[in-house]
Amino acid sequence: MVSPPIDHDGAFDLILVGSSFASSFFLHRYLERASSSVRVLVLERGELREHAWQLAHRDELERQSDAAVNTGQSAKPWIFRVAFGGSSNCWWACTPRFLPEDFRLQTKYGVARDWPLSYDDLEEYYSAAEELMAVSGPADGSPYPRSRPYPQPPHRFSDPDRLFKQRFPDAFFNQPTARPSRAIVSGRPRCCANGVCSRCPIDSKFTILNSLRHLYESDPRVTLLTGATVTHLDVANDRVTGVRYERAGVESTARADLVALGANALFNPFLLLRAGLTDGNPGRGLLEQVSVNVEVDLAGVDNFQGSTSITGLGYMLYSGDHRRERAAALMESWNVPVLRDLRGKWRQRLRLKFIYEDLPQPENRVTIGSDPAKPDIHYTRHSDYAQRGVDRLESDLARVLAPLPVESYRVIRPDTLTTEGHILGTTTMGDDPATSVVDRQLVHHRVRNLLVLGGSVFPTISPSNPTLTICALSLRAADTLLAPSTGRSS
Amino acid sequence: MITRRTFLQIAGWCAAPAAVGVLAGRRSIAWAVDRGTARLTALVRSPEDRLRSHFSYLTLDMAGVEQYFADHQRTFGPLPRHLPLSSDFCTRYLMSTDFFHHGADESRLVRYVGFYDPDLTTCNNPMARFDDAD
Repeated sequence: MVSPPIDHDGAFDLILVGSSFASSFFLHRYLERASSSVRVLVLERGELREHAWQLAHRDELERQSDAAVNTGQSAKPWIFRVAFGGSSNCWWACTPRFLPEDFRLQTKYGVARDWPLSYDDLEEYYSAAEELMAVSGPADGSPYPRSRPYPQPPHRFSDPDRLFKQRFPDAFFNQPTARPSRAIVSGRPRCCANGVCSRCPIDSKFTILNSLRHLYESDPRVTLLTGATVTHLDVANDRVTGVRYERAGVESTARADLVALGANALFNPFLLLRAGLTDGNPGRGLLEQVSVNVEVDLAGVDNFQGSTSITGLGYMLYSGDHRRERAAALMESWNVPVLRDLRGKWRQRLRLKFIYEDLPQPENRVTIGSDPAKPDIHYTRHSDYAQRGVDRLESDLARVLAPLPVESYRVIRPDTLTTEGHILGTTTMGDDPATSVVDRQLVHHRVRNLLVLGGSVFPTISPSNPTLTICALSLRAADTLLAPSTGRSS
Repeated sequence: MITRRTFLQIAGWCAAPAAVGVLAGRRSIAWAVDRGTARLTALVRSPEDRLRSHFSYLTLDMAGVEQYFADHQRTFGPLPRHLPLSSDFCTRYLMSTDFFHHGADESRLVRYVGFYDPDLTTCNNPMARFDDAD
């Protein structure tokens, strides 16, 4: 049914769609910069579920997200959560930054396209996001320039990590992570290496629920509506004039000067397409990284002494001219105890994960179908560029595994249907309105009171985990929007 | 008394992996022989007995072994009693004991301390070290 707009007592200054990382970091900075009289409406499709409830209803949450999209013939899973705080409820809290060269893939390697902004443009926002999450990271350098040390000291290395570090001092580091190495005053306990981080049983990793919930509940400028599914954007004269949403079976319309989509790379393009905003081809180029596991049996070196699930990151296959023709890879060193069933050698096993970047393929995309609330997902396979990287792994392993006393190893070949749990691309950021959806401030090229936030704006994705970059982009977007010269904060 | 039909079934069960092994090489032959033996053993010995036998070089707390099987069944459902025990099953048992808490000392009695499930018994990873931390 369609009912008259719900009584919102007038228009809002800002409507945010979604409450995950992209929206919450934007909101955090927006509220810091905006005046005390602004009014913000947040429309969240899911419900606010307490941590204990989530632990007890994990299957239900997974079913809910599966049911929210049409995957058609493709069986590839896309992992997200329909709940307040979105996918912060199921991430593994891995927070490396991108390397400076990740923003300049075309300039440096002649591949794909450059981002319209640089690492330097994001550096202060990376630091701010790390502070908000209380990220633990290496104290003895990092693969990217930093203006500040990590907020928390590094997690403890495993013994194999120490061997990697000795051999590759400039290419192997403690993993930066929002699984804290020290207890946090606000209440998050220190990570104790349970190894089931997607559902952290002690609520240690950073989530929107445990760390930024106050933005939604304690700030009188913010109205949060959960269970509110946004179905349509009304657009007239190149402005969003209304946001239609359905809640408890009733459709309503809310209005605001500014609308920011912070859903994810499935739902952001879906809403644009439903509004007829086809500029820049939203929906095309859906992608994520491709990973390969290598299980190494060690001779005489025990593993699993680290203090968190993933303890080390290797950059040995990341930068270099190989990136002109095949994908860069980031190596994760895992510390979750998966033992060998062999007397005296129980701990002499190491799991390494090699994560390859991918490039956008136009045939992998999100479209609108007959269901007004569900995007249709079309995914065939990753790029040849990614596959060439994967194909090279076995010959790269001799160099990478050189520091370890290797008894044997097994490469577990990738399956394009598995997932890294990232959803990227589909509303690309760029300077050219013909080939991108939003500009470098994440504002829609034509509809200037519409922002698109999150991993959907990435022009290329790097092998590194995307969340910290998503958060930094959102902080920057809010900062730029409310910079004193724009006068929009008053 | 074993019937002709049962004998042929057992022989077939054991021969199949061995045949695969012959085709795949000597290393696989060893694996296939082990696997065939495990299948044969599974027909005649209880799973509890086989777990104790698997860790014959350790002294296991007998009541704890029974409790492990009960806890495993409660979590994952009934165990197929006539299939070989998986490596995951055996190593999870070790993780559920005090074996690694005592530095994998094979001379000590291995006591069951509780089913290893990090979702339920949190902060119980016996190998993680935090001595660089607080």
